[in-house]
Amino acid sequence: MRPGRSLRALCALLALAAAGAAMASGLDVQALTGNMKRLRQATQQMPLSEERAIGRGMAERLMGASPPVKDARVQRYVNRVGLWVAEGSQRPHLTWTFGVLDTPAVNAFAAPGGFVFITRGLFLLLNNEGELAVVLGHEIAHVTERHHLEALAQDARVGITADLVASAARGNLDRGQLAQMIRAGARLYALGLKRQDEFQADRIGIALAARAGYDPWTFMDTLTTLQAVHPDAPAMALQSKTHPSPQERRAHLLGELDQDFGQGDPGARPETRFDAMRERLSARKAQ
Amino acid sequence: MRALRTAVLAACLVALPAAAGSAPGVVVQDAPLRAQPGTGAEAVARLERGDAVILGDRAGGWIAVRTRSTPQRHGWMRVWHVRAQRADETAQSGNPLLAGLARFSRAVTGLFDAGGKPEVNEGRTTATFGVRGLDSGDIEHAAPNPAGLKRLVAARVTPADANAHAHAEHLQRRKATVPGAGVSGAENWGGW
Repeated sequence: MRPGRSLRALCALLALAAAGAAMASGLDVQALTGNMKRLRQATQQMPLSEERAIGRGMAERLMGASPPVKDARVQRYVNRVGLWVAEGSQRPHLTWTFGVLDTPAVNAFAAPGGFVFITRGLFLLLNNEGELAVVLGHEIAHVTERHHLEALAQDARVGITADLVASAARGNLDRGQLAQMIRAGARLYALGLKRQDEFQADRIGIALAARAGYDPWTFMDTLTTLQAVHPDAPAMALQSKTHPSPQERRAHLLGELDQDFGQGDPGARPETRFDAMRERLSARKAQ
Repeated sequence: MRALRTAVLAACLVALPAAAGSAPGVVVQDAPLRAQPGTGAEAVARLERGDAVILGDRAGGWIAVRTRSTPQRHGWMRVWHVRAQRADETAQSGNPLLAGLARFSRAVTGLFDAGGKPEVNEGRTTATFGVRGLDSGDIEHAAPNPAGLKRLVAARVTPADANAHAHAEHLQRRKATVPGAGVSGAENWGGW
């Protein structure tokens, strides 16, 4: 961690501790708001080494629940598309890792530090590379905006204390603390992120896909597809529980899409090489 | 003269959908068919869910649509009011919407053993899947699988590789505003 960043992080944490003490005597909305801001600041300044360690642990948990598809061509394909999209993001130089998880569940996941995964179930419902690019872009946005780290610091349901956030922001989590953060991070996959984080990730995802030359409107096709699946279907249940409905997501996006991408070159939606990967996945049996 | 120009322009706009591509599609939601792309344009017909159509070019969030019924009508609809059909769907007879949902089910359930028998809910707008998904407990209680992640790390590619892959499809970088982006930066170079 660079000295300047360390100092900033420590200042933020001292302020955080002061706000916590003030709040101990009673609820103070102003202090609470300031506290949340400082927590957000602390997570934004977490050193990359700490962020990666938490993200790697969360990703290994995901792999434990659902291993990656054993097809190197498919995995390389998703990495090529994903990295091309991520290079247009606010954090182009992270060590991005993409993958397809071998599960029928319809979902996609991200973990701090540059880990992005799509399930085989969702991949098979997409129709072209443009749709894939937006889905990956949505998950890339969760990483670039540090949504999971913020949730770890702010979501009381995961049980992370301010002290633990402080240790993470200083870059000196011990093994036990790191394991605690990873367990809490894995819980986030069940609890979901804030709705506004999901809407923001949608907006950023379509912008990243557009920057990469894809047609951002393909996401409307993805939402139409998701809308056609019963939200309580076992393959969709976790997705439905942790995300706004496809109708809500479309309503939130529509104005900006019409304004920013209503005219001009629509962008690409490559099908041939996407279909080849889709066929490879279709041919697979569950592990 | 001005009226003539307007008439010619209007005729071109109306004719455009008819001259566009010929991908088969289906209406997935009752919605108006409009003379031009735009919510203020005249509605020339109202199509119903399940109607078979021919899809043409796109213009932003609009797509050119021709009906298959007689008399044939053409115009524009919102992209989410219709869905393109793939070859395996169109080969099936019967209601194209249900055929689409059946494909949809097969896409997910066809990969699994008998427990995943597809079920299409024909009386409603949604399809259901009989397969078990990845639920919250699966992830929360999973044992870490570092070997699995290692396999994915091995599949990483370099920026040069990703760029060559993009250029093979003639993908070009474009300007687009990324809304609400908080952290800027190339400061976090992770190395390869």
